[in-house]
Amino acid sequence: MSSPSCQLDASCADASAPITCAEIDASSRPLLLLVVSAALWLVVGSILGLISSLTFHAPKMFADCAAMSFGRSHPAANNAFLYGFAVPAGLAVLLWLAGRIGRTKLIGAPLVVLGWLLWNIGVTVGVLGILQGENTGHEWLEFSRSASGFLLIGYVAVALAGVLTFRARKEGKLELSQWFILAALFWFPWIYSTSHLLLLIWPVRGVLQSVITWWYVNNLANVWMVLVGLAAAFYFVPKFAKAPLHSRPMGLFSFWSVILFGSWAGIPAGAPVPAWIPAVSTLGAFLSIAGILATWLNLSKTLCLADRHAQRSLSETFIPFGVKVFPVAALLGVLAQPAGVSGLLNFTWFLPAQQQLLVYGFYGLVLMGALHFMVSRLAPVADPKPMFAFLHFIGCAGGVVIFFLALACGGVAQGGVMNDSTVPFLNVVKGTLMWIRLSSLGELLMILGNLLFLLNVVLAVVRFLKVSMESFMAENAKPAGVRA
Amino acid sequence: MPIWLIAIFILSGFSGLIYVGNHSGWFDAQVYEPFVDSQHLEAWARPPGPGEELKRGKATFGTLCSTCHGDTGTGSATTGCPPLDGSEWVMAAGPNRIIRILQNGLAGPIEVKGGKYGGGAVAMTAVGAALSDQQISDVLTYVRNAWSNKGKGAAPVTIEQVKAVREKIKDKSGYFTPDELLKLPEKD
Repeated sequence: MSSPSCQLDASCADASAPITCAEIDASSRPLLLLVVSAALWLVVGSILGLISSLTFHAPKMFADCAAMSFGRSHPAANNAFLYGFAVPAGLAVLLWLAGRIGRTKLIGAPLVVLGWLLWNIGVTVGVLGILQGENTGHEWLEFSRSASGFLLIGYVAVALAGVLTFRARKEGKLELSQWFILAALFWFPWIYSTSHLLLLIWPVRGVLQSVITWWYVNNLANVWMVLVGLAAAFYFVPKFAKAPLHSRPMGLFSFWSVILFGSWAGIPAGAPVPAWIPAVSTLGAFLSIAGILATWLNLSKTLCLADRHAQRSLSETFIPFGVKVFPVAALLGVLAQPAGVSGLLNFTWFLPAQQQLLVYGFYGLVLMGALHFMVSRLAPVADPKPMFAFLHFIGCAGGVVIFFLALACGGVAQGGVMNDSTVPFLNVVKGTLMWIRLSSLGELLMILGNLLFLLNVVLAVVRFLKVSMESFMAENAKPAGVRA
Repeated sequence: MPIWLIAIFILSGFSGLIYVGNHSGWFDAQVYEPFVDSQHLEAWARPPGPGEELKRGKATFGTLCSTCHGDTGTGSATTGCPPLDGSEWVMAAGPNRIIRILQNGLAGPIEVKGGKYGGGAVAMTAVGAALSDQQISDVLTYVRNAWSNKGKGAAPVTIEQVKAVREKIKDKSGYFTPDELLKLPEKD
């Protein structure tokens, strides 16, 4: 390996450690299944997302194809991204980090394979179901009940391997990232099963259903994804800077801030529920401001110590970008909560823009950086060419920035005219078209980035399999005496 | 931990609590944004002006009563439903009897405006049992002031009168009969 990032494993190669990084990585290879399928679903999701976006520009394009209509392609795209890419890729990173930081091999590899299989059956059934019109109608929970059952059992199987690996750690005292890893492993099954029980199995009545949906969406985006993203960030940033984290107490403050206050937020002021619910939700958002700032300060002070002139690997480009996006996306989410601002921004394109910035700009990019690092260790091949790396980064980072800026500006403008009762609603809708066109450009770039991510992952795995096969064949071709 | 971060945490929590104080409707499940509390809500709600109870009463009458008694309260001799328009039962000095009819129903026959209605298997069901005090007061005020009853000085039926009668007959089960009702004063 000639990549600069390979030197970053030095912290793991402790001479006194009873196990090497290479052994941990070798035991973690089943996680590649999760990574490859996640990369594939990411591309599927972004193509479906582009189709749903195109229906705004050319409504007649898919007029005769019900599966491609906005009402189906949009939730299919969202769910393919969330459950096809975001959750399994996050799980893969969590399990790998649990082994790496705990200095232990991955325990329960068969559980990972079983979980991966069940999870992907669930996602396939769910996405195809949505395209056929089978949709529960609850945002981010559109998969049918049968698909959700596969997902939950699949998650529990993979997470169980994560908990077993965590339990087998060599050090009793927890590293900062381990707090985030353990919380994330338990958080998702809790919110997913609770929201399903209260929405689909024993549905609560009336407006309470919306409250449960908001609670789930907020918990998945602002708690679970933040826990996974920060677990990776707090592991990789000191590694890249070749220095310890700026402040561990501040990191723990970030952790408790996410856990204690993160799950309250997400219900906008003016929501059709008793006024105290959005008010308390806004209080939760306010209380998380200090935690967001602590995370930004902690990570940026550590990043400052990194050598700016050194050649950077893909991970060293993606993760710092995601880390810088986090405070912006999270603070904008807080800003959109109070009554005055919510009155302007609610029901506009601003909210999807902010959500995309958090989910893709922060979580997606940190995860891609972590996955590049992880894949290069699990299936070691040479780093990609600089042009490939440049295009990949521009596609993902440039795409999400254009997408965000276009829809955020469009959303603010839309909110302004929407509150003016003298402007006909159709004019308000037409006024957003230019911004939507610009955002589609961002989406195109993101598809390019996602395709290159898939290409990189698949090529690495294929090359690794080829090399392994050749060495296996060569080994077996030797005369028996030599082999002995 | 920098001291300014702790200060921001305390300040944001404090301003968040002020926000909750101003926007939570004091945790009253009836108060929705943009109302501040239930008093604010009542101040915004349109007070029931003259004629409001007649509008509400007409709506209730249209839903529950007009099927048998007719849109103009003429009743029907063929179905055994007595008229309400010009009825001495409706236009009595007080609503003592008609509240009871609405609440528990009536088993006839009953004499109204010189004619005999109902009897046998025909009875008026206890339609008022499922109505609120306000709804009963509205619908009875309406029938006492609609059609030719209008302008004859029938006093509106108040919520307090409905409450008082309901309290008195809370243990009564089954229909009232005309004889039973005629023993009661028209007005308490």
